[in-house]
Amino acid sequence: MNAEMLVKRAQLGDKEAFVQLIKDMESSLYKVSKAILLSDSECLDAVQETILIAYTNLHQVREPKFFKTWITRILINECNKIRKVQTKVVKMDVYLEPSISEQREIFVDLQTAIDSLEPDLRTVITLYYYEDLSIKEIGTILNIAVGTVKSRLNRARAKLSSLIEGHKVEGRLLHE
Amino acid sequence: MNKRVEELLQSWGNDKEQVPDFFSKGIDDVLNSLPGSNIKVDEKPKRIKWLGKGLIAASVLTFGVIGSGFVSPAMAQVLKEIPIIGSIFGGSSDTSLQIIEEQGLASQLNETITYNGISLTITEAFIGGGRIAIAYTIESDDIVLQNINNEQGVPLSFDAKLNGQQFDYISEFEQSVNNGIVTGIINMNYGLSYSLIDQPTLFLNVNEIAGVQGSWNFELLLGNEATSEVTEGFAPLVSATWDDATFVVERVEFTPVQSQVIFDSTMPRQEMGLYSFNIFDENGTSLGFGGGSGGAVNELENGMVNFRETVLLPGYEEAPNGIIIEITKNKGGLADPSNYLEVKVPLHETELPHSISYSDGSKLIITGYEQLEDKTIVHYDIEGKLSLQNTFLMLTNSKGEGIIELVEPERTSLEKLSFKREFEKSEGPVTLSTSMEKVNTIQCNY
Repeated sequence: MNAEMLVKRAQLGDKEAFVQLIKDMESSLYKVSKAILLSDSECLDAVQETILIAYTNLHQVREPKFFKTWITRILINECNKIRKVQTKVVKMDVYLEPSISEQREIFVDLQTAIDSLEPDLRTVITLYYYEDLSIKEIGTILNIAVGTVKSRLNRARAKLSSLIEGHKVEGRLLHE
Repeated sequence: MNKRVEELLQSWGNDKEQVPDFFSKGIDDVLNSLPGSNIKVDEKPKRIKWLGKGLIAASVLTFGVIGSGFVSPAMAQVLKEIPIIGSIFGGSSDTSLQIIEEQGLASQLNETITYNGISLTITEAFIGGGRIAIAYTIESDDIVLQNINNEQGVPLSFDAKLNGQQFDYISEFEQSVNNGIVTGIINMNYGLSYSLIDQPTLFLNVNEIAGVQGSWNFELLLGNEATSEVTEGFAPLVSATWDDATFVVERVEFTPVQSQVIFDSTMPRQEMGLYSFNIFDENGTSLGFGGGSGGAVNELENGMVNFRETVLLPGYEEAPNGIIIEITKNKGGLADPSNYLEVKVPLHETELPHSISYSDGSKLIITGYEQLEDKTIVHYDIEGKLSLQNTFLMLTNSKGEGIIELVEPERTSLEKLSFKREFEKSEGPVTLSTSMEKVNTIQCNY
């Protein structure tokens, strides 16, 4: 059954359809939350909250085809809430975090470079390349203008080029 | 940009990494704990207290609101309208917004603010039925503006307040660029936790246009006499209770653009999200559904909460004489799939009419089907629960492939609760599927 049919069935009361929708998106939910938050446990907190919100507000999705952008927007809001809390309590020190060990070897440098980007840039890179969302869709999800998405994407690419070519990846700043 | 980096990014995007086990398990945990996942099937109907009109159902509470009190709200002031040539609403792809132009419902504002070389003009605005629509033009030599279709994209960022107060809204945009002229519409569905005066002021603070930061702050007086004349609204204050939950129909408002029903709900905190509303006209025909929103939640004593919920409906030229509201508790929302049974009716080998009975005594009766050159039509009657008219129906061919539904259900007779659904064309045997609640039934014969 395709995703749109699953959304429709879920809206009509089929919880199994909702479960399948979420399980199909597991990898996406993990990756998007990881673009904004530091630890896997924070990511799980955000994703769990997102699932609860999506479950109780599913009727708000007018067009099933927009479910993915709708739930991604909820997830980003939840991640940002956690990020704001962190910003209040964590000192603004430079924080070295080991690179993600489970990436394939070829992507280790790239993943480390992406992790070192500012969260705003990391988010657009993830949504564009990993989630295959269009620039307009990313603008909708992040509630920013199309021009801003483009400029963030260009800044992210330029930084990544510089980081990868210059091997300048040294660590990761805790959320600024 | 470095080509190698672009290639790496593309490959990275296609490399769907393994999700850590604990993360996957955490998702399973929350999915298993969702409300409705461990519901026992009721062996006897719930006790329902009902004020007004008696209909007992296991999972649905129905009450009627007779519209003898429909009145148009008096407007405190009438806006001075400044005629402009052509309306941006008229060029919208949204037919409900086109009605704003056709019926002259927009307030003409024509207020311009220029900042950083970008001139933003709010040309006209509409408020009614839980919706605010704002038409604008942008002029600038310095920025590149784009078409935004299908409500995908955000051409400008803003904050909004109504009468100085925050409110909940979901905004969507349309924008088109023709010969260097940029026109657009901000389309907001809103829910309020307070009453709105007849002619509210919208504080619209635009802080970014096409990536350029700035400050374009407007105070817009919304509402006008034309909208007032086509608005039929009343405050029925009819209430119904279901166990410890109380629902008061606070306001019903029909406009040609959009309509809304506002509920004031009080219930135990743990029951939040369990109730949903289906709204019908006085003849029992669904008035559709256009989304909804909730206001701020007020904590009361003894674990109770109070909040406002807005159910948005499509626009109506004429308001019905009354409305019937079915409230569904949990089972009408997302319930445990193990409590549901998929019912399949192979139409080609089933004697019609074929009746499907539900636990509360309601019936879905398949009366016929037609396989036409361009579409397939399924005819059915319902008895009992009115929301059955919109129940999930899926049509599949002999290969098990789904046949896409084309339009919303249509009432075919006012004498009976008869409806039809249209699907894409089909050939050969087709099977109709629906899902219904399983019930443990003990039959006793004396």
